[in-house]
Amino acid sequence: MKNIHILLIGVLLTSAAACKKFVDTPVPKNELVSGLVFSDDKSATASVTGIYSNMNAFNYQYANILMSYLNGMLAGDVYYFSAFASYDVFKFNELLPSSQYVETMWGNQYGFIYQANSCIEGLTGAQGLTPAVRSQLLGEAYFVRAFMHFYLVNMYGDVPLITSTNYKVNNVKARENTAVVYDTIISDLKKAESLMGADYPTGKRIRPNKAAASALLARAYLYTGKWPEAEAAANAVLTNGRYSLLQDLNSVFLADSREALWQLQPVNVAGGRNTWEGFATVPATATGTAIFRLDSVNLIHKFDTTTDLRFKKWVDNRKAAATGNIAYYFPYKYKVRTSTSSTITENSMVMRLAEQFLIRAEARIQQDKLTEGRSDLDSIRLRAGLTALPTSLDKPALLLATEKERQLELFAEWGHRWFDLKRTGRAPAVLKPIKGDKWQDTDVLYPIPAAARSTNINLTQNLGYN
Amino acid sequence: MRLTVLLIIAGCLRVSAASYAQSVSVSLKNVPLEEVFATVKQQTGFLFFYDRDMLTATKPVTIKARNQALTAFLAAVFSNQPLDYAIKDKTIFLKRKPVTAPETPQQAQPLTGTVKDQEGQVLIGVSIKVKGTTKGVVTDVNGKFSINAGPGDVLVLSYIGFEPYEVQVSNQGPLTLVMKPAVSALDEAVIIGYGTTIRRKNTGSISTVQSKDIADQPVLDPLAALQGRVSGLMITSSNGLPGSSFNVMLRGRNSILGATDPLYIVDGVPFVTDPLNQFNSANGTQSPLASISPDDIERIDILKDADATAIYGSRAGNGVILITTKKGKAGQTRFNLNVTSGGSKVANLLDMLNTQQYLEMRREAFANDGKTPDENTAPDLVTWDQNANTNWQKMMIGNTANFTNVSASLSGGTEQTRFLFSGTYDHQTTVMPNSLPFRKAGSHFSLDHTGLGGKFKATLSANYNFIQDKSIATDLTGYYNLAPNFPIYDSTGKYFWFGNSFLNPVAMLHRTSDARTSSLIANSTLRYTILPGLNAKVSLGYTKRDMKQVQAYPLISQNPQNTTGSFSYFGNSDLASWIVEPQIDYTRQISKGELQLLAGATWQGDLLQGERINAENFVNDGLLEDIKSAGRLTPISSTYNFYRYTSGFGRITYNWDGKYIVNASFRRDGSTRFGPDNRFGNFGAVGAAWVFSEENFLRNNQVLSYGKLRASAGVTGSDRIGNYQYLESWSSTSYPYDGTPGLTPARLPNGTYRWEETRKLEAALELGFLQDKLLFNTNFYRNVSSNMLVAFMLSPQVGFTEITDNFPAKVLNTGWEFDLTSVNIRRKDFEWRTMFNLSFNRNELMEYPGIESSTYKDVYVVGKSLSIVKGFRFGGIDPETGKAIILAADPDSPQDPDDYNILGKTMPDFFGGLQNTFSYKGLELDVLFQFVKQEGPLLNYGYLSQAYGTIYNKDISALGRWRQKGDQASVPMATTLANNSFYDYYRVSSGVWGDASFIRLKNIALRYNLSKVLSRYKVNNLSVILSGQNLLTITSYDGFDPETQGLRMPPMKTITAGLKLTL
Repeated sequence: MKNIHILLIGVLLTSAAACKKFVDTPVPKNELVSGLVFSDDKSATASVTGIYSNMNAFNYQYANILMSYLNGMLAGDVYYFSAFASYDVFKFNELLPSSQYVETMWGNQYGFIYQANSCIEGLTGAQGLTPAVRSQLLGEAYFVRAFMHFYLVNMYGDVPLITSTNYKVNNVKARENTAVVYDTIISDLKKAESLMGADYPTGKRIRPNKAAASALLARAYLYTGKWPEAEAAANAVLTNGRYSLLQDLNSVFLADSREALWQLQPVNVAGGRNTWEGFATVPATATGTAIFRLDSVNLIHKFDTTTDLRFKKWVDNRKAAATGNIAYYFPYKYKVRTSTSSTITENSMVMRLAEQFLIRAEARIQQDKLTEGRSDLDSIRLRAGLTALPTSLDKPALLLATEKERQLELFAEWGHRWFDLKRTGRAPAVLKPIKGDKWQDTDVLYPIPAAARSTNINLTQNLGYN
Repeated sequence: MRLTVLLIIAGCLRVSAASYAQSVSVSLKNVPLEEVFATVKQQTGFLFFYDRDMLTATKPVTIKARNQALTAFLAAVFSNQPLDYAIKDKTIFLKRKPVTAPETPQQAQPLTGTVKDQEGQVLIGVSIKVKGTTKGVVTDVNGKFSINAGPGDVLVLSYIGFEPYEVQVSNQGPLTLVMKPAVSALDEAVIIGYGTTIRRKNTGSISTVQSKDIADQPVLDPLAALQGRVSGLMITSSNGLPGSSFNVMLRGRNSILGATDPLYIVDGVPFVTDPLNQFNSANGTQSPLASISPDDIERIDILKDADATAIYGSRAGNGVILITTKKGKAGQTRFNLNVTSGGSKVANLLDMLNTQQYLEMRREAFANDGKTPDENTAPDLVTWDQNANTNWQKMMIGNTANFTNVSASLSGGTEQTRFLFSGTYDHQTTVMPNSLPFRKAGSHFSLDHTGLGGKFKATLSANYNFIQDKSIATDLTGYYNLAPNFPIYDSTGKYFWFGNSFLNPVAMLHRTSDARTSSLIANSTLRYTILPGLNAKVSLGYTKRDMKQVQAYPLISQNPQNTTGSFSYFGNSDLASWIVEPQIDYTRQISKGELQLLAGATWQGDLLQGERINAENFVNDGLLEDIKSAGRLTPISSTYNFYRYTSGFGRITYNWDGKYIVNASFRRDGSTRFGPDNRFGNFGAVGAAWVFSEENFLRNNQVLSYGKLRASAGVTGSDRIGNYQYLESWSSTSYPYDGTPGLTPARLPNGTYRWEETRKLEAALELGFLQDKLLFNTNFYRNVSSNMLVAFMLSPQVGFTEITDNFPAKVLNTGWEFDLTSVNIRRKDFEWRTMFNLSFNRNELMEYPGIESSTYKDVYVVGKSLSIVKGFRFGGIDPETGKAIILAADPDSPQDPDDYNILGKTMPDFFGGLQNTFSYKGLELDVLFQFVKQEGPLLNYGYLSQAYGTIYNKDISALGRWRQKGDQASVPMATTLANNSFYDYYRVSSGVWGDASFIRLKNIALRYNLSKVLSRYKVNNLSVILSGQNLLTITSYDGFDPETQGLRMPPMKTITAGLKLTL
């Protein structure tokens, strides 16, 4: 009997001791613990470039189709060739809190903000990184955080301002006043401007640098009516010898073009695809269909179609088979649908120099520096093969000219037209005639997504969506 | 570990004695021996250690002694008793005297013999007694016995799982005694965690399904055979295609997270049920349990309450399903062959509008919207053939599938060594147009060896299965609503494509999916009997499953409008799992009771690895399944899941005279799924039973032959949350940026969550009437789960939509279960048996502190089931406008579409099964009905439902649509607007939610045993079997099927014929 008990107890004691150790698991082989991520230059860099990869990995995720074409639909410039519920709500400005892409854009931008905050927190205390690398990466993280907040605040109005990874705090945050969000955007961009280098880290213009931060800062000042600051920030970019307007419009959207301030490198290049934009708009065959098209009344008719090179180079059309007449137009800034070459020739443009001319123009006109402002507009017009604006134009006329030039220059790029109409308060006047009864003045803001409100009772809804 | 304490207590059962005198002074006359013992203990402190049964044959004692030495005194006392003794320390051990001198001349020769079962296999360990005496022996490993008895004596045989047997000795032998299996289900063995017992003595809640009911059904997955047979167990098919998985729910849903899968144990070894798919095929993910062939299963035991499951501790919250595979039996070598073949069709197809009705609805929709159809918005009205009428359902899922199953086994062996070897082959096609075979080949091997005079026993079993599922990537059922005049081909004979959002389902058939799964389950148990009643045992198990998938998407199957060329997916996963479980069990008689102790420990490790690669730029579409022929490979995901698990466990059972039984179990578990500080948890249960029919006042009662009351309470748990949720780490992005992969946070980590707990309470009454011909069980249970592990929904502004955490919510599952087994008629040639089960479950979110401000405020309601579904209240169709009227939640307040109401719940109100078995001579008929009372989403429910009048066909409910002012319509008016708020609300409203109850003729099997006819040939058994599955469903549900619901392949109606041969 005695032996049995000793045996039993022995078995159990051995097992008890072995247990604790037994369930200490190693880290999975396909993950890297946070402490190690910020311990060397390469993985720390990957923590930031991961954001760019995810921004552009899929066509209905964030950049490209969603930001450029759906926002273009809201402004009446772009339309989808067929009836499709998820796009029709954009076409008719009938967004619902439950609309798919209203939720996608909200969630994904906050996802990037989380990662940017993780990087800021990880990089801030990081040891063992090359100081210049650490500084550049930290600058990029602040830049990304500002970039996302900028688009959020312009799409949704007041939005929660997220500046840490503390989910308990962030989960219940209410919407922050737009002015406060802008304060953070501007302060983040100033930090980014001072932290980032003037050179692109790997030579390619696929990661933001100091000039990209100044450029976004110029835009933020413009949107908040800080004209002198906007002019100064844009001026800093425009006087940077690294950038210039390309006379050949067919080269503007090529990878590392001299006009590019920041481009996203295409990452999901299955089937020889370059950019998602090109893939979605350039028809597959000579008789194929373009899926995203340009509205002939609201956009095409505003071009001087005989001289404007932008119309000639950045717009293409399909003819109706039966009559040979032009059936529809589509954006042709990106020209590659798929390529048999393994070299990527086009990158997805996020920010480019032309916008800086337009920002400085507007900021100067607003400060009554009409001549300087007009000359900035003319820089853009002359490049497009147009003549200079008449010197007789007064301030309101010049502001309208700026609005038009922005529309014709930046169409189908990152929602510029939509945000312009909204920030200048011109949306009702311009869009009511186009959209008819579907238009309500409250449509200038997206609804706060239903999924966001159902998970956070502190979020209020925008007017017109209750 | 707390187990140690338990065993130390057990150790203290040894009795210690103080120091006393070593001599005795007594004067006793005709007293029982026990009185002598008492005196000795009192005077000397010596204790007697014995089995009370030994005393029954002793004679009264008359003795006088004065200061007699203890040894001399004992010698005198035992001189004419049938007992001997030995002194060790202060204890006197009694044992029976070897019977030496022939007391009666006619018993000079001991009676010898062998005990066998009806199949001629010897029975080891049968207890044999001579009636009216204390003489008793046990059969040896050869089933042989030798006992002092002679003609005229009556032998009483008893053995677990067999009917007690009495026989009068008529000659001196050697005898061959045959025992019959227990007719009373109460004496059948029941498998419990780490052991066996019999139903009569069991303190827990356990249901059993035997091989006969499993193997004769034309199913590939053992889970399918359990539908309708087990009270408390709700099994729902997820899809009608072969190999698809099942949703299993035992006694309701305990967890907010929703995982209801029980723990599966195959031959004592946990079976990891993580699906291996890297990407879905038409049947979703493949059911892991399909890797076990139903033909190889001996029995399945379902453990439900705390008493039965707590020995499995943390993983037993959702119950435990024990699968026991077939083993060899000693005796003649036998060969079995089963061949089954048949066909299947989809159980139900929908009635859709024909082309004329469809086009009429479309024109009406344009008219209602004030729009003119054109070639872009209405190709079906403008350009497509107005007379084409394709029945997409018939074309895509209306074919006949074939079913063939062949299985053969060889078994036999001696009493020392037994073996079983079997092989099965299944071939099944689908109801989709191409043949798309699903093949399964498997073999099963089992070996038992008993040696060292019965002291050592080894069991080894191995199960290897290979499954090849050649299917397509997508279930084609979803194309049921394609416009009936959608052209398959264009004018040039190529596939027709429209826009980029329509797919041509016929072109889809060119896409292939090939999934190959192999699985090896090997386990062995080594047992050594150290002392009588004390066994040491170790179970060893190793499981390896792997899956290789290839899906090819040739150019011809793709819309030229948005294709980037042909491509393929390659997926690989493999899972290796091992386990070691040493155990010790000890059984001893204490007074009139039997004490059983069990202690053990577990070490388990799993590793799941895999990756998915997308391939493109192929030289030629003929090479799509060759990864080397791809011009570009993109790794999409890699899987790495390492899991370890360790425990110590123990159990004490004390059974007093078959009347009062107490059972306590305990387990301490550690799991790597928790953060470093929270890895261990304690679980346990206590159960008790009172077999009141054994009490004197009920013994020999003519009506009530058996009665037991039992109850149990305990705590079990769950760690079903996936791995690494506590780990703060980063993983690589899908695509590299600037030449190197980016990193992205792998998750929002939480290092502090702990085990989820389920406290289970159960009370049950088991009754047997008329010699147990009618058995009736009633169970009541009340399980409360707390410390909920949830994927806590976060507001998306956090950057993640969820985090794993405990939540102080409580979920109640309470219910009643009724089981009835009855032999209605038993005649010489005719027998009619009925089995009936009925289960009620009420699921309720009992508490959820702060739900109003939580992320679940729109999902759950305190006091309601976890399975509630919310939607709008449908108030009929407005006769004026033709639009759906959405009522406010509060009927008195004005309409507010934001008002979301509870539409109903998806968990059933009650469910059960009724099986009748009739046998007449060699003919046997089994009829099983399954019934479920539930509600659910109807055909037109959900965000995938298209409005009446868009370019999708509708079912014939469209005929009741609103057409003009004043119409009292049942469904909204036709409209082309894909996004119209009235249909958007309607499709998630009470208008498309309703009754999904059904009664289904689950299985009908007719067997005819031809053995008698063929008795002159050397055939042991030859039967023919006709079987039908899902032949009839009675339901008012308007979709494909009330069981699978939704737009997926409904279950099949199957008819098979089979042949069973035993040589």
